[in-house]
Amino acid sequence: MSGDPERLELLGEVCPFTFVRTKLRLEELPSGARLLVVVDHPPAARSVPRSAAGEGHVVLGVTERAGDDGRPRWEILLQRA
Amino acid sequence: MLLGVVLADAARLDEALALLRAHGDREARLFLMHEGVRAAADPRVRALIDGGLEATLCAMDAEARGVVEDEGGVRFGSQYDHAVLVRDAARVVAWTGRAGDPVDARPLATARRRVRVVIEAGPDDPRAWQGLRAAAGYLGVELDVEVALLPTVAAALVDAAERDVAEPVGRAGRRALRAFVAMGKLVGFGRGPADVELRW
Repeated sequence: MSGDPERLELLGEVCPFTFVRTKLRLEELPSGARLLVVVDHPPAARSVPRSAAGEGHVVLGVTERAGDDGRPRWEILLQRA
Repeated sequence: MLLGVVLADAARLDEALALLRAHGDREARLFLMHEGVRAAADPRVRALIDGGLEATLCAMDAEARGVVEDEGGVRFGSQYDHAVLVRDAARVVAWTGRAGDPVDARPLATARRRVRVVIEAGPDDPRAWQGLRAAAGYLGVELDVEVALLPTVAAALVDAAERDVAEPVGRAGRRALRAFVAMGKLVGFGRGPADVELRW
């Protein structure tokens, strides 16, 4: 599927809302659509990909970047099953 | 038969270990959260992992208590792992309440498991917010979730939920309670049986 992925910013969110909101957003998308989830809560960098994969979606990648405030954030690219 | 054990109090580890050992070679999962994450470093847990136990903890709670990851030990996970355990286990045993016997549920096989989270702790006890946070996580795995507040603490919890706090567990728990109220999932006592009823 071409084009930019949908973007879901979850800055300031903690578990479980990181993976619950990701799940709800994925369910709104058509099969094959991509979703870029941005988190800044370190445990979410692992729990969001793990939960997405556990629900049958595809984890295309996880990239760590510094935010404008210098703190790390993670971009998690997912593809809806 | 998959046995799922939730431990929120490291002081109850001996009981949890006895149960897991009695389960023998059959499949079992252990999830540690709240003060239960302190059990992650116990060598007896590591021995069970080496014997095939699948053990996971809440990384957020571990971080808050300075519990660090040990390669080959308890895996750092999230409330997602907790929710999957409650969804899938044929028997759920949970040491999440303040004292007394654990919850011991053997849910029937149903298409969508009904889970009730009973909050007995008041707003000054972090267990209340942990239970509510966990309940929100159950929504992420297609469980039918409802929350019941002990009448003696209900008003204080609902009132406290209107005021945000910076501390992550308290903030998430308050948000969860507001969400359950908005969804009409806050129920009274005396309702019919749930497949699994967890008490905090």
